[in-house]
Amino acid sequence: MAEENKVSLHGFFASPYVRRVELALKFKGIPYEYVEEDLKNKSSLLLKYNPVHKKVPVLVHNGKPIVESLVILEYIDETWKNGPQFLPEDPYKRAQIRFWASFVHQQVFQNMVLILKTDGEAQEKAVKEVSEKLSLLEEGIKSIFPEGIPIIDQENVGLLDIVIVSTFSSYKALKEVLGLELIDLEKTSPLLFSRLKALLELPVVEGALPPHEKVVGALKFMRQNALNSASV
Amino acid sequence: MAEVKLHGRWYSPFLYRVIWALKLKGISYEYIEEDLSNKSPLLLQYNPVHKKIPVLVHSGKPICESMIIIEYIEEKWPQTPLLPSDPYERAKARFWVKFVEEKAPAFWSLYRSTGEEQKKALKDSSETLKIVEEQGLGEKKFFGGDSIGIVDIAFGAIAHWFGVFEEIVEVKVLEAHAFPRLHAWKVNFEEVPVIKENLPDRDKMLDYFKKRRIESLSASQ
Repeated sequence: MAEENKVSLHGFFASPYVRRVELALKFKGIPYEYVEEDLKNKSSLLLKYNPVHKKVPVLVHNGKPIVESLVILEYIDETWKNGPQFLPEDPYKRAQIRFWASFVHQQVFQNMVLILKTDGEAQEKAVKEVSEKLSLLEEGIKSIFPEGIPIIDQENVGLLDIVIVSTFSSYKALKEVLGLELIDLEKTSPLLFSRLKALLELPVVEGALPPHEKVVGALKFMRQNALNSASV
Repeated sequence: MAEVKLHGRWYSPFLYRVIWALKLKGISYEYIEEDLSNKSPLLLQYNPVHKKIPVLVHSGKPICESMIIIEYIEEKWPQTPLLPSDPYERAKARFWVKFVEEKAPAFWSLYRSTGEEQKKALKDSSETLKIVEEQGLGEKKFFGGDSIGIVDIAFGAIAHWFGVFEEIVEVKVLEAHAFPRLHAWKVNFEEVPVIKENLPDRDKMLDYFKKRRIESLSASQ
C-alpha cells in the first residue's frame, strides 16, 4: 500500500508549464515529490518517462507517467475529486474553457516567448501579435462569464485560471529583463489583469511561484542565449 | 430535438474528424459548406478568433477547434465512447491527440513547398511517422484498441490525405516496409464502415490540392 497514490513531478523551476501542474497539485492538496531536472543534462528517468518529447513537466502517478501540461491538468481533475474542480460540469462551458486555455497556451504564450527571444522587427511583430491575441482573450473571458467573473478563492479556481497565472505571472520579470514595458497588461486587458492580480494574491499561488530575482535571472539567460544564437 | 449544424469545407480532414465522431455516435446534423475565400457572416460570428472550419453549432451555440468539438460530442452523447474511461488511458489518448496537432503542419507544408522547405517537410513528416510507428500503436489494430477511438480520428489525415500529398509531390514516405504498423493501421482504418462511407473523393482532392499547390507556389514568387 506504500505505492498507492505516490505522486512525483519532474520539472524545471522557470517553466510555466511545470508551474501549471504544481499549482494544480497544490490547489487539490495532493502531496508530491518534486524533482528538479537539469535540462542540459536530462535524467534517465525523464527520458524513460517522456521518450517522445523528452520535456518537462512529467507527472508520475504510481509509476505511470503523464505528459503535456494541459493533459496533466485534466488528468489531475479526473483522478482527484477533492478540492476545486478545474473544469465545470456543463459540456459547453468545458469546451469554452478548453478553447481559451489552448488559445493562451499556443497563441499568446508562444508569442510572449518570441518577445523575450528576439529584438528589432521580429520583436515588434511578436508584440503586435500578443496585443491582438490579448484583445481576443479579453472578449473570450467576457463570453465565458457573461454575468461577470465570480470572486476567486482557492475552492473555485479553474483550468483557465491556472493557465493564466502560470503564463502571465512573470510579466513583471519580463518587463525588468527587457528594460521596458512592451505591453501594458493593465491597460490593454483589464479583465485579465484584475483576474491575474486576484490569483497572485491567493496563498497557494504566492507559495508556488519562484522568487522574482530567480525568474529574472532565468529569463535574462534565455534571452541572451537566443540573441547570441540568432546572430551566429 | 436540439439541432446540430456543422460548418465545413469538403476537403478538410479537420471537418472529417467531426463528421466521423457524429456518424459513429449516430447523431444527425445539417451540413453547411463554407466558401473560405468568401467567409459567410455566420462563420465569422461563430468563430471570430480563428475564422476557420469546422464549427459545430448545437442549439445555436458554436464550438470551434476539431478536437475540442469531439470532446464536446463525447460528453454530450456518451454512446459509442471515443475515449477510454480510465483517467490514465484518457491522458495517453489526449497526449497522442496533442502530438498530431503539433506535428500536422509539416504534412500540410509538404504539398505547398519546394526545394529546401519541402526537404524539411519530408524529414519532419518522416520523423513524426516514425515516432507513431515505434511508440504510438504498439500491437493494437487501432490506437483505440479493437475499435477506433479519438486518436484514430485525430490521425485520420495520415490515412487518407497524406497519400494525396505524397502523390502530388511524387514522393513515397508511408510505405509498408518502412512503417508496417502504421501502414496496416491505415488500411484497417479506411475499411471501417463509417470511415469508408465518409471520405472526400480522392480524385477530386488530388485535383484540388494540385491546383492549390500551383497557386501557392506562384504566389510566393
